[in-house]
Amino acid sequence: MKEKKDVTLEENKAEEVVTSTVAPESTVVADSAWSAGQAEAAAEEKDDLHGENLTDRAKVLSPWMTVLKRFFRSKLSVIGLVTIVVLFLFAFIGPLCSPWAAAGGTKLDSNPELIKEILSASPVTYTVGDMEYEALAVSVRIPQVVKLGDISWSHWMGTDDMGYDVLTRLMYGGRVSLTIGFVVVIIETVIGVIMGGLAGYFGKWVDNVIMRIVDILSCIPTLPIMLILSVVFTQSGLGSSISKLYYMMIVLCLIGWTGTARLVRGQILSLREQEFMLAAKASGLSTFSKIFKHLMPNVIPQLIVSMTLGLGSIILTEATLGFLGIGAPLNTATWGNLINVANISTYRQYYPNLWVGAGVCITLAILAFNFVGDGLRDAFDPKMKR
Amino acid sequence: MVKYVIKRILLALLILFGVSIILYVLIRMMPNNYFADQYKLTRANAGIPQEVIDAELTEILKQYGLDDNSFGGILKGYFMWLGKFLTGDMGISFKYGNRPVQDVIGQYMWISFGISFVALLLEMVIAIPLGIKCAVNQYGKLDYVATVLCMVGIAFPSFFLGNLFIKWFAVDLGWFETGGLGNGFFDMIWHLILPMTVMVILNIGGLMRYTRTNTLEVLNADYIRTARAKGLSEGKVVYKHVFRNTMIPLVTQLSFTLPSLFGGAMITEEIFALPGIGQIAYHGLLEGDIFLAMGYNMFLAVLTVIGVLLADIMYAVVDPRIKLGS
Repeated sequence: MKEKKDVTLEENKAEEVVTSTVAPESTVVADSAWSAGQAEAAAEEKDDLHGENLTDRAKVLSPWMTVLKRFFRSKLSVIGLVTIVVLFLFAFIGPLCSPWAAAGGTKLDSNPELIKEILSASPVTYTVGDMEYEALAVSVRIPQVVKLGDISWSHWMGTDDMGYDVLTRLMYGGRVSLTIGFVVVIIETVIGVIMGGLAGYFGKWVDNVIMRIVDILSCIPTLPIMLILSVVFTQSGLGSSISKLYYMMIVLCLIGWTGTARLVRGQILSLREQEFMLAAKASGLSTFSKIFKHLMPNVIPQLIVSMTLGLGSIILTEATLGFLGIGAPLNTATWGNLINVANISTYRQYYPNLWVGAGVCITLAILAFNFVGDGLRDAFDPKMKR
Repeated sequence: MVKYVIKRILLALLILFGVSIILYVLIRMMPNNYFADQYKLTRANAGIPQEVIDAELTEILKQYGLDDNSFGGILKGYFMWLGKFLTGDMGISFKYGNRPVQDVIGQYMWISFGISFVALLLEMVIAIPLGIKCAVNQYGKLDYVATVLCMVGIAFPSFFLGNLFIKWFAVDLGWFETGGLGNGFFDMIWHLILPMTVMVILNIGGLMRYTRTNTLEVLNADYIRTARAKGLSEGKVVYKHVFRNTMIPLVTQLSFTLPSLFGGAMITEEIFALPGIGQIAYHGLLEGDIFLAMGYNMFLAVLTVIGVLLADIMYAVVDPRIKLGS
């Protein structure tokens, strides 16, 4: 019985959400607190009796505000968003708080300035033959690089096989892994929107040519191609610089835009038959403004969702390349490269502090982007029954 | 229908032609060639001067169309490869015992297929009932927990989960084996428990969510209301009327798993040292076994094309409302 009641409650919410752009304030309040809503409704009836105009109290929410409101209502999306913010803070602010941070996490465990630290200095005199020399006897501390150090107060996650602080490298790794996702997804989307838009709008042979290219590219197996290209790039002298990763990501963009193109094309095919496009045509708008001002805004919700979900998958791809040792050069800190040591069974077994952190970060990032993407999808969908 | 299928097959051939050109050019751009590397090594060890080796090698590579790395040379090599490919000859895998590529793929493919197939069955047995149950009790406790767990499963990278499992269950606890196939049937099952668990965890989420979404759609359909109005019990409504209609999109969805079913899981196989086609191809690719690389990638492309085609045909077969070719 209780369940039944819940269901009706939920349905009520859904109706309000759909109409909330013009809904009076009282109804919007009702969905956050049922009892309060009932009270309001009663008050509303009273107001009506007194002849007060209902629209005076209406609070109009813009479509975007509606989406935001619905997005923040879902717990999972909020958890996802918070996780993403935390990961970004960890990657971009974190290194500023780390004593081991310097140039991409490459600073060794040993602090080079310490080498100059003089513990004691005392003048001594000694004679060689007839000559008497004066000198300064100096004892200095030369710190040892602690390789594969244990978890300690100075190294919260220990140090790796080169003596780098793992936690700091994890932070710097996040910078590369997180930003690369955004760059790739944006480029992919731009290419996909242009190609899909052209195919969907013009149809005929343009559509045919573009869609055949899409078919061909989506048949190419990604991982083997990345393996081959990694070998090719390494041979052409890119093996030791971070630009190799950038080139690989460009390739990823070049074969990854097909999904977006399909999505945009499909949407445009159905949209261009609608009345508002006829109106746009009748008012003599240029092709450019018809596509980008009237068609595209209608595709944006789906694009945002697919971009968010795409972010997670790019992070996964980068990590996979790193794990296989074919992504960025191995001395560069990326999450994928950090988890690469798990390939060596000794490290996998006895030094989990080296790779588990990176794995957790990757998983969290993908999970968070998926939560947000799902939340956005539900928030954008006006038919969504909640 | 027949006309549509023929049209689609011709289109598929065109797509595969395009794919093969791109693949061939990329593979030929690879600096290493397993055969040339090995040949140079053995001949140099035999004390033969460098110039002689180079001359011999050029002669041999010419037979395979691999000698000239200029654009024209690659194009010539491509058509040589294509001519053989069309007669069913995919070239020779130098790394795996100088055998024809189709034999190598044919041998190791079945290992991958066996593992993936059992994993897929397990996924279906768990995911489909769970998805339906979640949809029927939408926003219930089970629904929330299962959805979140599924998303976590989807988010795990295979290499991370695989390595965690090896560390915990194979080494720390010593329950399972770290990798390989073992000897004999029961030993093999023992070895395969961990990799299969990894595969199931990674893929179950997608299937379960798909089932759940579809079931939700079916539950809102008019015929379900009719079934309830007739006075059928809830169990009969769900397990007869809902279940059957949920299966329609699922059947088509399964066509898309074709490439992963036969093509192997490269990373999972590599981590657990399973000699499936994925691992074989991975090492072949890295060491420049040109014809194997070409053959494997084309194999995957063909599977993808067939999968998509099959899915489209299945749509029409299971749902008579869909008309093909419009």
